[in-house]
Amino acid sequence: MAHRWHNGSSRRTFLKRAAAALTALGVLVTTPVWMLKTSRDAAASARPSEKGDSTLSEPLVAYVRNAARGEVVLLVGTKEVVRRDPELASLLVRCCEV
Amino acid sequence: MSSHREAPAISQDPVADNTDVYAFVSPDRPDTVTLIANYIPLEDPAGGPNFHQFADDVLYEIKIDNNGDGVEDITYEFRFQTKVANPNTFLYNVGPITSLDDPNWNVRQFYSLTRRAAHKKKVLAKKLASPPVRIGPRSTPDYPTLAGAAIHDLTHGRRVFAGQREEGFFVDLGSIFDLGALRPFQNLHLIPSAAAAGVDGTKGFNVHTIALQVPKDDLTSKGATPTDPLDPKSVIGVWASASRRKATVRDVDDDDEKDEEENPVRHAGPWVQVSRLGNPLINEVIIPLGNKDLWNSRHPKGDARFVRYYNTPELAQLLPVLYPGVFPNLAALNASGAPRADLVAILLTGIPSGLIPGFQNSTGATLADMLRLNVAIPPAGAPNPLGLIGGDPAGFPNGRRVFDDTVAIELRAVAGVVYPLIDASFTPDGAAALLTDGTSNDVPYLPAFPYLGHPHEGYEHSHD
Repeated sequence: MAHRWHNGSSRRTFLKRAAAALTALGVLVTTPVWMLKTSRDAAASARPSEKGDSTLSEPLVAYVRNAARGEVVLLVGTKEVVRRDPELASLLVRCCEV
Repeated sequence: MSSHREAPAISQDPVADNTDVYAFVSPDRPDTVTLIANYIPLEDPAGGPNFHQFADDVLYEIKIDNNGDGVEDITYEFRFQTKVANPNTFLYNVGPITSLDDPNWNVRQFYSLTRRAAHKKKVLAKKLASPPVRIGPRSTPDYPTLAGAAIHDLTHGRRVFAGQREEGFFVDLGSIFDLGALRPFQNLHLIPSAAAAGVDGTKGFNVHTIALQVPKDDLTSKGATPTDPLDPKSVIGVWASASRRKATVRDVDDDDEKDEEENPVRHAGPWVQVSRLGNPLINEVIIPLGNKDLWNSRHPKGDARFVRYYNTPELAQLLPVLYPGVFPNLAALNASGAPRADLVAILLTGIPSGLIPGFQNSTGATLADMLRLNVAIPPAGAPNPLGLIGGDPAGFPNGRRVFDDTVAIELRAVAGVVYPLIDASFTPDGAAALLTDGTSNDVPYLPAFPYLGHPHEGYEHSHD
């Protein structure tokens, strides 16, 4: 049985809401694939342009490796990008605070 | 075992578990080298209805270092794809399988082979068929014909096979992991019992084999075909690995209304190595429990971090304790604290010129666990399964042939039989040169590619 959050919404619903929030902020799904570097980018980096081409054909997995350091790992295709983005990390953490 | 279930993490992931690696100059095609990487340990032949097979979500690779830096210069990459003709039956086959395109065969595997060298990547073949597993007299009545049809000849004299084989590695698993007992010598054990013949713990089991035969110039530096065994460029380092994607998401919810045929498992991120294997028995016996998973995840070029385990192997410390009075010279060597430079040479750098007349398989100073093969040494006319210590330079630790008795060879090496090569004043104990677990393989090897025997069938096999 799928795990349900205490407010009654399913995990999928939660994820959809989170994705919608991120889309609105132009954080994740508007990141063009070409901007996802093949090597780890642990340095602090600027927020990508909101005008990118949303062309991801594969799922994108993001996980907050270290919220205190604002470290977010993005996985798409066979690429991995590590971003130091406290604002993004904080947003993702807040999304889980249902 | 050689590298079967040898580390905590990979023991839970058999389809990605490297079990053995072999590399040798092909006896029947001496202008070529045969590379074999086995996976899936202790594969019971009666594995239906979902018989053992390669994983579609694992990257299988055979890697070659030809300039001694412990970094692969050439990689052969294998990716598998499973196709189910009829998902509405539980059966692997619905009648006898008599050919690789037999409509009775329901669950098939195909694979691609890609060669990477420097920055060049070339797909050598796509949609190559694996043979079915060997089920029994009704389902796979003529297995050798099916397996033979799955040997594919490719361009540039390359040949490839990927499918089920008989487990060619032999070891007395039950005895060795019962406090280091070797049945032929267990009357001398600290907890003695009557001496007995060895029992092959892998008898009746199968593996899944990737076998590749390529011309020597496919592997060597600058595409050479070396003929001088003392030429450093004659030596290559070989290892195999298995990798999984960094993230896996099981995207399933009970309240989901998605296409039932859509695969709910998604993968993302780069490939991450979960298993590797060069020399046999290293992660099994040399590397301690707390570092086994780490060892599997790391690249050979960084093996200097593990050198202390080669310099003071736990097994060398245990032998004089488990067999009181049998290994006094080894005990003295242990007590001296002298590092085991002999084992470091054999396993991490190769044996340099000047120690054994006419022989070397050194790759230089870089410490890296690789199977080192001097391709200029021709196949033996009368091979000795004890390889180099048996006077046969075409065998382990110069590469590894399918029949090499690597358990006996490494037991003897750890006990000190080759230590005089680096310290002529050392005299090995008399028992050291006799060590063996007393096993041999239960099935004959094949004289030609892919050399490992046909698999045991599910219908009739025995582990006794």
